Amino acid sequence: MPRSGALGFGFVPEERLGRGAVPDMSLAENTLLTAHRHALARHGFVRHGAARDFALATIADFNVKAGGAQAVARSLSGGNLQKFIVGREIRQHPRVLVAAQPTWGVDVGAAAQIRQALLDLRDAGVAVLVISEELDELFEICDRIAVIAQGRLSEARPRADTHAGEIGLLMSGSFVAGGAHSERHFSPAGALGLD
Amino acid sequence: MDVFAELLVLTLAAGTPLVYAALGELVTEKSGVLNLGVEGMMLVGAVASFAVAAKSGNPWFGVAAGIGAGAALSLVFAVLTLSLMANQVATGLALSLFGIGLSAFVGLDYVSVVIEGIQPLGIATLAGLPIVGKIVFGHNPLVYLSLLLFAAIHGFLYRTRPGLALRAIGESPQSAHAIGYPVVRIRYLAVLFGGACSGLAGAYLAVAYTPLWVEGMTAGRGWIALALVVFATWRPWRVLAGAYLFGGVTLATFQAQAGGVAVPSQLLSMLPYVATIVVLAVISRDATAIRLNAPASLGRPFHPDG
Amino acid sequence: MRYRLEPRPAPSRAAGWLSPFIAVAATMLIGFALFTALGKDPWQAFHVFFVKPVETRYGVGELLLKAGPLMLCAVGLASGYRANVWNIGAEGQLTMGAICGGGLALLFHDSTSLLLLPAMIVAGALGGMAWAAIPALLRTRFNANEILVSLMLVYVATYTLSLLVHGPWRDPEGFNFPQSKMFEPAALLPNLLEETRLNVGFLIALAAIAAGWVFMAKSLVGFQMRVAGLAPAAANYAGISATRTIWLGMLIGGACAGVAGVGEAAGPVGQLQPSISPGYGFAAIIVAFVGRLHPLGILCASLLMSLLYLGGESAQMELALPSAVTGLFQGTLLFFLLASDVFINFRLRAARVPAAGG
Repeated sequence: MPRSGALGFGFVPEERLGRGAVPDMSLAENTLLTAHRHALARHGFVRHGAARDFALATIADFNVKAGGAQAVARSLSGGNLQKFIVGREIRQHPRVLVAAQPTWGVDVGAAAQIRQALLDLRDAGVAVLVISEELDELFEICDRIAVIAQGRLSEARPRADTHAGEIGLLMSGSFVAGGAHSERHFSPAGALGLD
Repeated sequence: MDVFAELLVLTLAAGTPLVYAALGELVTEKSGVLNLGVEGMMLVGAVASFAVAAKSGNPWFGVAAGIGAGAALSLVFAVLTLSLMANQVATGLALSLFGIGLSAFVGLDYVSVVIEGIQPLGIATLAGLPIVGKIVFGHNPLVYLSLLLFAAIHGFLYRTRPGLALRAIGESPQSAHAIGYPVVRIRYLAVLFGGACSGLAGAYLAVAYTPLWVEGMTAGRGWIALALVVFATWRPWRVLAGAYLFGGVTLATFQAQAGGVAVPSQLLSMLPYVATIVVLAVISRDATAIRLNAPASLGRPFHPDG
Repeated sequence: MRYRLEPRPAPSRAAGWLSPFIAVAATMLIGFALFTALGKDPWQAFHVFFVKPVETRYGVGELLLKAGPLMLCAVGLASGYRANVWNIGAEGQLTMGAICGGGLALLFHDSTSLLLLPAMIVAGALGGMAWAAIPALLRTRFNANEILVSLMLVYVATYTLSLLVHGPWRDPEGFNFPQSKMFEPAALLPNLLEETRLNVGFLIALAAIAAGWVFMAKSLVGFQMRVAGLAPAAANYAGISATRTIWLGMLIGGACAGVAGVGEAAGPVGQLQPSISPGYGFAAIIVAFVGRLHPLGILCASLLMSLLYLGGESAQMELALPSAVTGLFQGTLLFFLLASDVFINFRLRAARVPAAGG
């Protein structure tokens, strides 16, 4: 997806350490991973000062507890690194943001902060797609919820018109023709939330 | 038919160093450790065996020394990669470079020394039998030993519990550790076994096949052995077949040169290396087969604390 | 008291800097023991090995002359190693560079054009790149291990050179020695320092170090290659192409080694002969690691490695020690470096509870 970033597409991957961030690189360098299009590189050369400033701004905006922009990614706690990654993507002003399991294994405080950040982004008119298996989380932040089960995508339900029981039923594959018991190969169910 | 028997004997003789080195590396890699130092261990095994054979007058003492020297060098690799978590690729390269330097240094006094090498089995009456005699009884004792080693390794890996443990560790050291296998200790043993086999491969070259000492005499056979393990997709039978195939290629180049074929000798000498590249590309092309057969943890360090 | 290794929360920078010095010191200790064991006075041997070669102006010139190709090869290899592209065939790429550059010199043997030398350097770089392109292609198209392919190609390149100087490129007036004609002045690198053999090839090597530093530290592509080496999944997430990384890592290494090959043929050797380098391509692997894959570190490490070559020659003449001792020291140095590198990611802790039966 080399040009996806340039088109205004942001992505928070499921795996923080190793995919969303390079464990042995500093936060400033990890900023460059996806944000280099945003004036952090010029004529093919990295502007290290600008990258550091970007990282420091992310740390400040999202209240990341880290030993500065030069701290290596793996020295951060899971929640703080996740805040940094979400912040890094949000601060690039995407038009679409996909967040996979954005609060997996993150402490309660950081999780609340990340959810609020996603809501703020929605309010700013950005399309946000959250992929999660935590129904509580989806009901907290989503406007519409759809389910993938047995390789099929259900239609999206407005949050106000549905409840956890119905989504749970959808996750068992009830909307797929032939029902839950005719499945020939297992595929994990999951829910998508559309802000 | 006599010519055929002769060629078969020579092919086995040329393939045997590859059998030893590649089988040893196979066992090491099955435990999840990639040791790129085969070339270095072979050279050190070769020079140690030659030196001891020359001093003692008994080539079998030389073989023992070669095995010991290969194992000793692999112990250095094991300490660095298994206890000190050093990068396996870099350490293996270091082992090869070190072995090349060490063997050249030690071997200087032995460059034009002549020794009595290990002779083919002298079961004169049996070897004299038509056709079968030569094919069955005409080999060097170390060639028979390599076949025994093959059978032993095959049996060990697929018929015994320790063999199963070794393979399990190569697939997932974390799980093996969790169910109580001593991962590091077994990897140590696998590396040492690989080193001993490489040393034996070098010893075979120096005290049986040639028998003499020349600087860098393994001529890349250690690297070809590494490639063979990949060709064989980590299966002993295929290692054996591949080793004899390459023995045949090497032999063909010698024969062509000796027979005065009107092709420059350098082109013929390139042949084993070019063949290695081609076969490696053809086999590796099936990425799924490589991924399914390669030990899953190959080359990755393991530390009990993560 | 038992000690155990404990992972550090973050890699130690200090340990990274210290490790090469620890390795050099440990190698010196081994050298001390070795010289003593061989019945030489170790202090005198050290003097012969490390001081004597650079006591004269000529000696300093030789030091820099040998450091040049090591620097070139190592800086090229390092940019690949940072990206986990294991090109260990620099020796073959160097040989191919010498063949292509030297071939041009033989083709235009009587030329006095000022363009000949630059053309040779370009030809050498292209030759090295072509040789490195084979493992890159086989790796990206067929998934073939680049370590083994690049190494096999060393042998093929060496035999190719041997074939050429034994056959079509042999000097007809060379008393049947397997050597080409000597190059004419227009095909030789101009001398840089009087009373030495040092030539402008050294400046090319320094330029490569500078360019390597800019590339690795400042360029976006250099950064992305480092990401690919440290965390392939993160590189994939960031849209960094693995194929491009392999190609770049291989081609940069090949180009640098190829130029080093021309530098040897058009420099101290002055012709093509079966052996064009005393293993610079392999020694450069050690230089790259001892130099921490960093251009400035490589600059220092190549001077050290060059001194090891000179020391070996000097020890051969003065102490009747075999020059093969150089290879021994090179390997030992790399071992100690890898061993002391453990402290970058781990620290030693005394275990509180003595392990039973351990």
